[in-house]
Amino acid sequence: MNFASLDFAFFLPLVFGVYWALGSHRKSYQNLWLLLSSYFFYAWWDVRFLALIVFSTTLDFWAGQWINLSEGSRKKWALAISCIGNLGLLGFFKYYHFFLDNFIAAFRLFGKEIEGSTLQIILPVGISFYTFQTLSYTLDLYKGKLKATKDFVAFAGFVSFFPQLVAGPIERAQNLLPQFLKERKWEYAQGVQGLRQILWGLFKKCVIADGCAQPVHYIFANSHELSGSTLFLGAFLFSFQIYGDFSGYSDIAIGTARLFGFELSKNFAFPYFSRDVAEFWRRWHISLSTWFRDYIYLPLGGSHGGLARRVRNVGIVFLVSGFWHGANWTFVVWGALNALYFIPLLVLNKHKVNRGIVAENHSLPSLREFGNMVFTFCLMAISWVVFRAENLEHAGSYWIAMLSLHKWQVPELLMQGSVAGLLVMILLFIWVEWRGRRFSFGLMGAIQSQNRWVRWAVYAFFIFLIILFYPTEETPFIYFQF
Amino acid sequence: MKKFLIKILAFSLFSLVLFGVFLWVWGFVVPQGLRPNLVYPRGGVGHQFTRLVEAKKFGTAEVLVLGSSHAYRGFDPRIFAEHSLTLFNLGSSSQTPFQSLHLIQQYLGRFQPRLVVLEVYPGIFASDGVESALDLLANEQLESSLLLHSLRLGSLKVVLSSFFAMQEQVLNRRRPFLEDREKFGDRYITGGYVERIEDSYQSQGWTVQPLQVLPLQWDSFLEILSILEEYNLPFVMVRAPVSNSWLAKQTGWEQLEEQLRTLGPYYSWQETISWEDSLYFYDEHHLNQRGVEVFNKLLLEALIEDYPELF
Repeated sequence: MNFASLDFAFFLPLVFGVYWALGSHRKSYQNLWLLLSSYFFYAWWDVRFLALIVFSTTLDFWAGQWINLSEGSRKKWALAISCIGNLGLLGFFKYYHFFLDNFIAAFRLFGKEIEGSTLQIILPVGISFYTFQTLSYTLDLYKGKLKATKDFVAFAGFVSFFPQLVAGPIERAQNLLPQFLKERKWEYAQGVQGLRQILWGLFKKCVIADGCAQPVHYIFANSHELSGSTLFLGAFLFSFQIYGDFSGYSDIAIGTARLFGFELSKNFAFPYFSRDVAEFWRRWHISLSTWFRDYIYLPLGGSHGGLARRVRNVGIVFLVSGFWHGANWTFVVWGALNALYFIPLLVLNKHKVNRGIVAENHSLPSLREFGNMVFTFCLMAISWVVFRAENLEHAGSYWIAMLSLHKWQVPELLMQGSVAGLLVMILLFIWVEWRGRRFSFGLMGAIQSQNRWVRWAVYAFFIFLIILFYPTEETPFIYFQF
Repeated sequence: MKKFLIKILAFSLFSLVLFGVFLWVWGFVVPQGLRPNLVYPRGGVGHQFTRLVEAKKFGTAEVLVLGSSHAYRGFDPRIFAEHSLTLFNLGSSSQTPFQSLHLIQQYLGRFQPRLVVLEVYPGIFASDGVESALDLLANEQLESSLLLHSLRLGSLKVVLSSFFAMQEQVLNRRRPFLEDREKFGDRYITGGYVERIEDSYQSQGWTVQPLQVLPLQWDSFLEILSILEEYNLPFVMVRAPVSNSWLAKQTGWEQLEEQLRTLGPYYSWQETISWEDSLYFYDEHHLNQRGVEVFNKLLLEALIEDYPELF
């Protein structure tokens, strides 16, 4: 079920109404209702996917009990079973064809032809998200960071909580599970804040991301015959498409969770206002970055040891992050490219320079800050090309044509009214996000210290824009495929 | 929770009022690029505005034509007049049976035709009808029957444009509009026909969609036939020729034609003569004036033979 659909517009009020009608003192009934609603939400795509999530939930609940009760090698075995089960599931459904195709290609290099299986595998929506979420539970139990729960319904609710089930934020058991175990009270302010964040997320998705989708599709599909400047426009628009799409989803997820009394982790913190790549990665898909930090980077040694070891650790994290996004070499190269951006900052020990909010006490950035933000954005836009490209060859030809500055001219698409209109919307979006960069989401900047009528007029205006730009064909969120 | 629900209700009412204001201002002030779902093509391609104005004062017509651009670009009233037949062409851009049904309900009494020609380009059966609904909303006098009919499509674009059109009408602010008889390389001819001035063949590079007949369009078409039957009005289904290059790309047309043939008299001269693309067409599927003359002559010969009482 897509957040930006009529189905969800009926689903959410129904689940919300029944949930609070059950009463906050009936926590276990509320949890059961949330679990059933989440399974219904997930089954909306394909009922067969439910089997996987139930398997993953049962496995980790059982592994958690075992880890809790055991010591030594038995504890290790329980963790190993959980890891093998979850990563095996992910590996099979997401990477089976990738490994098989590369295996065949490798044999072909040595003149051997082998036959591949013709197994048809559908990638279950959101599998990368919920397997990482449930893995965090057994890993944290193993490290002794939390105690295993005996409440299966609460645990299953934590694994399948519908607002963040298919595209994050990837929640840690330490944050979300205790919220399932305690009583949730309705708070007016939290509910209103949730609705505001949902509204902002819908604007990002329906106006910015979906608006960019069509010209981006056209530019990437016809990249071989378009000018370098148009290709740059394509990279620029895709940067906003993916940000609007993914952070829009996160905003809707966090806002929806708030309606049920849950507080999810922040997933984006205005990444395109970053002054260097290291800052960008502290602000982009935070829940995944911190997952990799805690469960891969730190166990590898983190920032301890020599420079070479730190560079290796960072390189591994970026490569794994790229591979997590999809079973395609384009994602691996995207990860490697970001590692290349990051490592010079690490070597020069400048990766922690920009930690605060840009121009925190000013309305505009300094010229230097502005230049750094534009430069960082351009680096990211270049890396998004390989993320979006069909294959490495496509990305290569796109980059070459885009960076052939002598071929630049006024982009053909700018002459189209729809693209010009979209750029106006992107400017509005940047302005609101800039004003709201001190808050948890952009819209807050546009309404802070305004009276109720102005606030309501602003909300109504954004609702109007969402309806005015709502795509005529349903476009799924990009991150569903991961 | 009570406070929350009351506030939601109050905000809903407030935003509903403001929505109307935004729509009104946006529709007037802002260019099309900033309002993708508010489409209001007054005039537009195909001289729909002029046609509908003329339709209201035309008087009766012996032959009434309905259909898409193949209709208003394919049946020339001047050629029919040579055979002492008055023809009015009620075709419009991308008109699907869903809109033809509305038009026939509105205009049948006014024209009192002796024969109805239904142009049956297969694509109209696969179209959602939104483009044509917007064309009608922007150019036709707004009446409840048109509004209700259009809203049945369930399209957000149609809903928004309907609200906008309604506001215009209610506030009596419909802007005066005068459409040039010559525009976009077209010339409007009395009787609803549009003649192509620039008639050299140019491919538009349109992509071909697989033909999938929509139940809404098929049912609307059957409803049109039952209305005609009710009025005991003869009708013919005609498919205007398309270029060979366009025809070669199509799939599923034969099956649809077979179905249509079971419903009544069906004429197509696609295979009868050799329609050379560069000679008879100005784009992939529209005849130029030379092509129209050949096509209309063939149709008239067939009508003289099959409907001698008309002449």
